Amino acid sequence: MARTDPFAGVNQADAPPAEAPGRKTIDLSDFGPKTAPAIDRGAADAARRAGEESGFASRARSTPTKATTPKAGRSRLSDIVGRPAVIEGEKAQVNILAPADVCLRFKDLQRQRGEAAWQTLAAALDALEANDV
Amino acid sequence: MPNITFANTKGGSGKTTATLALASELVAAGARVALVEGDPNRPLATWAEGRGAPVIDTPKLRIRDAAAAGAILREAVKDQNLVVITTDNDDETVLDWLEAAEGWATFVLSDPEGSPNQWMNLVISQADMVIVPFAPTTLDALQVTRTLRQIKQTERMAGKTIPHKVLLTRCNPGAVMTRDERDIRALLAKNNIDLMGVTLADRPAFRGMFKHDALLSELTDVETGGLNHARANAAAYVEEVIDFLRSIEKKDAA
Repeated sequence: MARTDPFAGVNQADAPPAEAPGRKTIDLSDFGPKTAPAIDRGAADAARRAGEESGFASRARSTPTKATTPKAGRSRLSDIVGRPAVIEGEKAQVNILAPADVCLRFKDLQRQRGEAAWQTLAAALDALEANDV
Repeated sequence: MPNITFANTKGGSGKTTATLALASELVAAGARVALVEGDPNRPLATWAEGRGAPVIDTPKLRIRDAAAAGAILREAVKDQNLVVITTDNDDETVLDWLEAAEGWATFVLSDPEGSPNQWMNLVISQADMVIVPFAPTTLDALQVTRTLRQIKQTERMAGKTIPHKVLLTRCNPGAVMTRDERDIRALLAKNNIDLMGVTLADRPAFRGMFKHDALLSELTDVETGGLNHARANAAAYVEEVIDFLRSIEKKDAA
């Protein structure tokens, strides 16, 4: 494809709007809520299968049911490490050596959830506790 | 009651901006709009909360069916004409919320997370129109291909047509078209991929909607620059979407 003059039109301003912007009335009179809305379950099932075939991620409800903000003074971390641990501040740092695939699963989950690592960890802990595992 | 989904498996393609620009103009024109949000980062919920608009935080709720979702929705919206239903990408209940939204809103706009996910597939399967926002760069072209293939695959498996169009976003607002954009336009045309005539340019006023938790019509020249151009751009965008929806209805009726 031929390269065009990169400076062409560089001194031109945007073309002015053809009419008073944002003031034109949009005619939406023929649109309204559905009187009997119904999901097309067949299409939804097909979409699920198409997604599974393509390896699309599925997310079920995974909301923490308990507060996840650590309280100052003492943390559930002590339960994990198996010895009393008193943390003075609001936050603490934990470094975990784990198999690579576990680390990858964790990072992948965190990325999918779009949250900070501690939030994913807290959600996982809450889920474990809720299920009494 | 059109149900429009904005789909792209890649983040940063301009989905949320395109969603909000359309919602903003429709609400300003008096329509009832339900925004169904799949992105766990919750940009639309954050925007709505900032302006005091109702947000339904579905992960905090347990619903049995669409009727229960509808009752919650009507309680939440009261007399307002905009609601955000944020789902954190939970694909177990999204169809119930979608059905509830369709019973209340004039327009339902769904904004999935920018990743390959089932939530996006499910809302695509119910859409009257899918808009595939796409920042015209070579990197994004690969992902838009994946999204379009997924729509085609869903069409094949569901045995129905899902009307869809590509919308170029984050384009140069001036008269000069980038080489990437020109090349990509040529490739889309060569492959018979439907491209919207209007493009959404990268304009401060579109970012200003998020910055000021405002509709485009509520922004002032003091708050953001280039407002007139952004409004003209948004008006042309809405007009094309509405015309396309009407053309689908006519085709269905024929």
